[in-house]
Amino acid sequence: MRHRADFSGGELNVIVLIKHVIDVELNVRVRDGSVVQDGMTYVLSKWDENAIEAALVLKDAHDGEVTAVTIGPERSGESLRKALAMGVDKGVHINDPATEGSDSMGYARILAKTVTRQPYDLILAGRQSQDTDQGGTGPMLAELLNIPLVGNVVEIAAVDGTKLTAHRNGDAGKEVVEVTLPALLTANDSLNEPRLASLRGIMAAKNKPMEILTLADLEIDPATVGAAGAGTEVVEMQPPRARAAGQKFEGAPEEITKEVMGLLVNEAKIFG
Amino acid sequence: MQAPATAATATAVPFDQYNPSEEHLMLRRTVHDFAEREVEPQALESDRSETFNRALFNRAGELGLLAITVPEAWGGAGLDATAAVIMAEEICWSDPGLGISVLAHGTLFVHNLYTNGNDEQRARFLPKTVTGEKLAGLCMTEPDSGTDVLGMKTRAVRDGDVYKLTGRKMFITNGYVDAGESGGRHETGDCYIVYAKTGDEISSFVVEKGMPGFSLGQRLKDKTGLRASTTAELVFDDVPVPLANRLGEEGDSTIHMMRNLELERLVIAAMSLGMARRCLEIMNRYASERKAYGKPINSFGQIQRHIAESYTEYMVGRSFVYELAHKIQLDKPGHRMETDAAKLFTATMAKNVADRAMQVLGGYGYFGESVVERLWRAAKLNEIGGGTLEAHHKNITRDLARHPEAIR
Ligand SMILES: Cc1cc2nc3c(=O)[nH]c(=O)nc-3n(C[C@H](O)[C@H](O)[C@H](O)COP(=O)(O)OP(=O)(O)OC[C@H]3O[C@@H](n4cnc5c(N)ncnc54)[C@H](O)[C@@H]3O)c2cc1C
Repeated sequence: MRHRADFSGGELNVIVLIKHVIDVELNVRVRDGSVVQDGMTYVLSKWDENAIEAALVLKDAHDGEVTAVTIGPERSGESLRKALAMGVDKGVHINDPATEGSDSMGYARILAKTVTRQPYDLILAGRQSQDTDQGGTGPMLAELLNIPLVGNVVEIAAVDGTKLTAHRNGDAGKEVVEVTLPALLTANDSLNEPRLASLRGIMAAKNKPMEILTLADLEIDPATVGAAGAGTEVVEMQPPRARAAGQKFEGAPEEITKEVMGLLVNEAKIFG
Repeated sequence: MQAPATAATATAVPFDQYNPSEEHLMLRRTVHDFAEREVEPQALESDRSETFNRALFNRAGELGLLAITVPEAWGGAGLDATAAVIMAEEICWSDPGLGISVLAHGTLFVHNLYTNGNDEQRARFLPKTVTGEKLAGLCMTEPDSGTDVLGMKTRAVRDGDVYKLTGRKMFITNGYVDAGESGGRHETGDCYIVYAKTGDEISSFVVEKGMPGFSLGQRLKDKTGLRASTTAELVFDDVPVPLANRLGEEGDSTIHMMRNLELERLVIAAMSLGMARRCLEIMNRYASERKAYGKPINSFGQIQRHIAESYTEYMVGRSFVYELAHKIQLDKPGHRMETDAAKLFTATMAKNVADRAMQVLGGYGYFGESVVERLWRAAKLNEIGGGTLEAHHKNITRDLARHPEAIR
């Protein structure tokens, strides 16, 4: 099923998938097998900011509308409003307790139902979310929608008619990929420098449309998503390992260089 | 007894007086991101070279930071005193030099003009000052009178459709800019609100660059801190100021001045909070990493005292300033004593916290790269500018004698 709007007018409608995540720069703690949420702050996942920025740049060039979509509890609205403050036109918030515990596939199922409610030309997402680092939702959604995927995009070179050219970081260096729209792209953080929301943007965000949906609104069977519908289960959770203290080297530069190179090659095996 | 049913209730977000609404939180994060990404990288160098970073200042304008308290209809953000406090705190976490320049422009000129000017004056002066395209400031202090502000000698004498304004103003922030690409030439900023005596009373006028008789006196170089802002003496020699540039009625400005000073003191207190927070962050991190005698130095009692006292004083100041900000209504005066007290406490608090941070960092703290050295120099200003400590002592004591019921 293709949901592409008529592109003849040159407008490009973009959907950005965003996630409100625990601020991983703070001290994340694990207790009784789950992350302690109390007293933590939440932020917009960083790669999603790149996705938003890319959408806004495309909007400036091609017109059209940018819609941000998130799944999560009440507090996730904050990241949507940040997206609106940055310049996104419209927010869609799927807020339903039954989505809790979803794995990537669950999120992708919900998003598939959500994004197909309106015509779109392009879907942008972060290459992974900052909390789980899984990176599955974008690709799975592309699969469910049966549209092409370009992952880990570092540059959007051109949008021309129904084609988009993107550069991505692949195994063997940079790849230049051409896709037919609609397509899904996931953003690398070197794609751009996300803009700061201006105060005017922050104030304007209050008056932009924000749709709040439940699974019932999307006609999704709660058993297929959330913890209930998850095909994967996290059976154990451990706190992030504390970083070991660094090692200091003293002496003449030539000596130290040799010593460090020796350790890098033989101990750390970085050239493995 | 049966436990109350714990049906799925929406988890209430606990009230956060430092970020009372989502807009406030978003503002804080935006300004903090701005500070980290764009302000911090230039802070040390601009301070060292005494350079006012005009491009950065204009960027602050682009983000809307120069008119935060002015209604949206006039190009501002229409936010409250708490927002002004958040912004000043976050900017001064990085660069109080930029902070004082934003204060002089945004609070002392833009907010002042919006509050005390009429619609015609707002339409004439706000559009270009709100963006930072024009640089503005406020002239109150004179070479021979600071604390004794009513002792000012600058006079404005009505002469038909103009006032002839004569006098000198001292220590004016945003007082000059580099003229011309190559530098070396300097000129005044674009517009200033100038307080002057009309008879025995005080009136305020907008004086614009290029008015005959208005000129740059001394550039006041070599400040202790805040060196990324400019400070100058401005000279007014029979300047013909059109009637249309008088704010409010003749002789009405003592109240303008007092009302604006309340917001100024609150914002200066917030600047102190920003500096103190940064110093606290730095000393806390350093003290857990730096080792002496095989142990992190934060295991030594004397270091613990530096850190714990700094944190406590900072939190006391922070609670006071935000509680006060919450009470202040921008269109109404009435918090003179509390704003005096908030600035009195936080100025010395920040100076002491910076000093302890330098002490905790040892030799490293004495160098620019430590950041605390720059903030240590900056923090002192708040014991002088916008009212000296002694001025606050005088005001508070006088007000308390008149209003003993305020002690409750
Ligand atoms: C970096 C910087 C930026 C500034 N920016 C501006 C600006 O933009 N616009 C502006 O108008 N001004 C500005 N000022 C001026 C500042 O507000 C004044 O310096 C301040 O109000 C003190 O005035 P003064 O320097 O004349 O000192 P004085 O008033 O002469 O005070 C000298 C000493 O006497 C003490 N003293 C005075 N009167 C009393 C009293 N009654 N009881 C006890 N002690 C007393 C003072 O507390 C002080 O210790 C700036 C100053 C600086 C340093």
